[in-house]
Amino acid sequence: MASPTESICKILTLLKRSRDFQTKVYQNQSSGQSVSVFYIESLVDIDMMVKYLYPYLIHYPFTSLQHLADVLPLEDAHLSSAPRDVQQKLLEGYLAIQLIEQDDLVLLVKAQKKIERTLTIPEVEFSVVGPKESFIESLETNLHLVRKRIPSERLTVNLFRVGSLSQTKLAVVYVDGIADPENVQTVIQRIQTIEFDEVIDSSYIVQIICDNRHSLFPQLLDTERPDRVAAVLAEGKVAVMVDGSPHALIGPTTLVEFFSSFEDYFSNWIIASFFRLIRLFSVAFSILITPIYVATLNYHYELIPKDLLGTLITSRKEIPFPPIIEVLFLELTIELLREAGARLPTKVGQTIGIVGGIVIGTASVEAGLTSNVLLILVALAALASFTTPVYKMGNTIRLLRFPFLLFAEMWGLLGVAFCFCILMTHLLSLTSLGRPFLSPLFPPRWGDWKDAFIRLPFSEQAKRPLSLRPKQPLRFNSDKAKAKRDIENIDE
Amino acid sequence: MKRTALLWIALVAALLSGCLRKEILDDISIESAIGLDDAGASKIRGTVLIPIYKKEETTNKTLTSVSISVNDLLEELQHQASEPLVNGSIEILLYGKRLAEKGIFPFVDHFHRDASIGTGLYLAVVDGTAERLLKGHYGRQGNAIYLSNLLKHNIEQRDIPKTNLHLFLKAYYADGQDPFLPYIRRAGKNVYIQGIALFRGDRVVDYIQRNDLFFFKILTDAYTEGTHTLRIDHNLYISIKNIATSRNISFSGSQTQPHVHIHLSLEGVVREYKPTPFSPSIRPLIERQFEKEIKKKTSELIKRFQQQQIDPIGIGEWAKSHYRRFRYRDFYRRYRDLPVHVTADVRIRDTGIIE
Repeated sequence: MASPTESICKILTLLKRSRDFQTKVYQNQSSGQSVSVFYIESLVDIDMMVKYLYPYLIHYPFTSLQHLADVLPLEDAHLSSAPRDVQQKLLEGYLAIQLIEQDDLVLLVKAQKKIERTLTIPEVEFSVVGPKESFIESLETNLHLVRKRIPSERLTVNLFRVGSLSQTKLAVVYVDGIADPENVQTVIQRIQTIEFDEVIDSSYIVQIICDNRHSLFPQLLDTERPDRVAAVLAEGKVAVMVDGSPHALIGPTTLVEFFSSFEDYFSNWIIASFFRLIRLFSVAFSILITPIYVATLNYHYELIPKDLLGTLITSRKEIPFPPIIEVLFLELTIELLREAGARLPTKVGQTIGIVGGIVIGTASVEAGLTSNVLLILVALAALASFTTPVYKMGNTIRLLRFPFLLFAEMWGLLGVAFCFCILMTHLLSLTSLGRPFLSPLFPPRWGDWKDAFIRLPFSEQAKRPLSLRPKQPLRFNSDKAKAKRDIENIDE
Repeated sequence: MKRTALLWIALVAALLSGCLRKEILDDISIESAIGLDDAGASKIRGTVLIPIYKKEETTNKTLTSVSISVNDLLEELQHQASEPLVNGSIEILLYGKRLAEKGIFPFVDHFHRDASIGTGLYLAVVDGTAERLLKGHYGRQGNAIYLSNLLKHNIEQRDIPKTNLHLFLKAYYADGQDPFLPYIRRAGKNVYIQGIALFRGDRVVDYIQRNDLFFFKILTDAYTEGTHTLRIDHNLYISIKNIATSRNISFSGSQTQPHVHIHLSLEGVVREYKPTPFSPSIRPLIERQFEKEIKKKTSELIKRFQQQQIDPIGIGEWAKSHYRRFRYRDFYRRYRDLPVHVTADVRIRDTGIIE
C-alpha cells in the first residue's frame, strides 16, 4: 500500500518495472506543450485511445488538464493528485496524463479494455421453458440482467471491493422497502470484514461469509439465472454478485429451497408440486437406501418381506464380502466415475460414463464381487442424487451417505436413526444469514409451506415468506388475484 | 471440551459395535416353518423347515430332533445346521393332531416371547403329523410360502375366519372366548384345508368340517367374501356370493337367565342359478330359504359348541360388555343350556350382468 509520503512519480517508477507499462510523450501542435501518457498496455483499449484521445492531445489547444478533461468525449476523465488513487486507476485500465513531468496533478481517463463472453443459456440450471439467459463474468452485465427485470427505483445496489490483492468488485443487491434491513446489514457487515487476498469467485464469498464454515451444507444459494435472482429479490431476499463470477448468491435461504428448481415456477402448480415431492423423495432415497441395505442385511433379516428374501439371498450367495465392503466398493466406483467424468472434456466424459456404468457394473456382478440387487440400488441412488437442482447441494447429498453407511454397519437401523438424529441436530442449529435454515419445517411457518415442499398457485402466493421478515409482507392483493374477471366485469 | 466429548462418543460407539451380533443374510439359515409333533413321554418332535434359495426354484430342507421344550429343541437343531439357525422369519407354525389334542400352549409360548418373531404368523393344526407335511414339496417358492399363501387367500377371500398368532393368543387369554385354528392335511403332493380345529383352552376338542365353514365364518368374522350354494330341491340350486355380512350379538333377560340373540345380516350376489332364468319373483323365496338355512346350520353349530362347552364365537366377551358385575364362571356354568336365538336377514343385491 502506498504511504502518504509516496509521490506520483515514485509510483510511476515502481510500475515501470513491468514491461507492459508504457510511457508515451506527445507534443501538442497548437500550444507546443509536451504531454506524457502512462498506461498499462494489457489493460487499455488502444483503439479507443487512438480514436478519441490522441486527436485532442495533439490538435486541440487546451490550456490546462482541467480544460482537457472537460472537452474529452469519454466516459470518465477526472483530475487526481492522490498517489494511491492514481495507482489503483492505472491498474484498472485508466490512462494517466501529465502536462509537465514532476507535476503532482494527473488526468485519469477511463479506457478499459473490455473482454467478455456473450450471454449463453444456463447450463447448470437448465430449463426447457422460461428465459434462457445466464450470468456471465462481468458484474456490469450481470447487474444489467437483474435491473432490467426489476425496473424500480427501490432496487438498491451497494458496491464493495474485497480481497487485498484482487480488489474484486462485489455488489449487494436488494429491493429497498421489501428486504429486511437486518438481513441486508448482516450481509454488508460480513462482506466488509472479509479478510482474504485473492477473491476469484462467488463461491469464495459463500465460504467466507457463511454462518457455519464446517457444515457440509451450502448456506447461501448460488444461481446462474438472472430470472431466479429477480424473483427472490421480490420475495425480500438479498443477492450478492461478484465480478468475475457467473454465479450470484442468494440469502437467507432454506434447505427446501435447494430442492426447488426454478423451472417449478414455469409449470402448473400441480405438476411443479409433484416434481418437488419427487425430488425430496429422491434425496431421502439417495441418502438412505444403501445404509438401509447394509443395516438390514447385517442385522435385521426379519424385516425383509418373504418374497424378497429369496431374491436377496440368491444374489448375495456368491459374494465373498460382507455387505459394507460390497457397498463401499460400488459407491466409491460411482464417485470415481463421476469425478472422472467431471474432470474430462465433455465427449470423453460421456464415454467414460458409459464404459464405467455398463462395463464395470456388469463385470463386477459377473465376477461375483457385488450383488445385482445392490448394483441397482446404487445406480438408482446415484441417479436420485443428480435430481438435486443445485449442484453444490448434490455434492453434499452424495457425501452424506457415507457417515450413514458407517453407522449402519456398526449399529444397524438404530445407527441409521442415530445418524439421522445427528444430522437433524446439525440442520436445526444451522442458520443462513442468521435465519433458521430448516424453516418452514422448524420453526414451523405454516404459511411458508405454500412454496416449500409443494408450490401452490400464484394466486395463493400473496404473502412473502414469513421467515424472511419482509418489511412489506404482501406482494399483491390476493382477493383481486383470486377473483375471476370476465370481460363484462372489467368495467366495474 | 466439546471435542473431547465428541471423541469419547465416537470411541464408545465404535467399541460397543463389537458387542452386537451380526446376522448377515447369506450367512444364516433362516427357518421358515416349524412343525411340532407329540413324541410320547411328554417330549416333542420338532421339524424345522429351511428354504434353500436357488435362482430357478426354492427347495426345502428339514431338520428334525426330539426334545422336551421348544427352546431346547432349537438349540439341539443348531448342532445339525452348518450356519446358525434364526427364527425371525417364520411364516407358519404347525401342530400335529396328537399334540394339539394334548395341549399346544407350552409350545406357543416360546414364539411369542421372541422379539424377532411377529405376531402375524399363521398357526395351523395338521391332520397326521406336522413332520410328514413339512417333508413334502409344494410349489416353487418353498413350502412355507406355499402354506402361508394357502391360508392367506382362504382367509382373505374365502371361508376361513381370520387367525394368526396374535388372534390365537387373544382368544386364549380371553376368559370369554376359545381359540380356533385352521385344520390342514397333506394329500400326496398337495395340502388342503380340511376345516377348523376348535380348542378348549389349548386343547383341540372338535373339528368343523368344510361344509360348515361358511356358517362358522359368518358367526365369527365380520366380513367375508365366501360363496355358498343353496340347494332348494334336487334340481334347483343357487350359488350366492356374499359381499358383506355383519353379526350382532345382543342379550335380553337378567344376568342369571340371559337370552342370547345373534342377528346375522348378509348381502349377496347371485353367481349361479339353475334352472335359468332367474325371475325377480323368485328372489324373496330364495332369500327366505337362505335365511332358514343359515338359522338352521348356525343353530346346530352353536348347539355343538354348547355341548362341548367351548365358545369360539366369544359370546362370553359380548356378555361381559353387556352386564354389570359380570362373572365368567357363572355365565359358563349355565352356558350349556343357554337359549341362543339366531335370526338372519338375507338380501340379494344383484343377480349378475345377464339380467
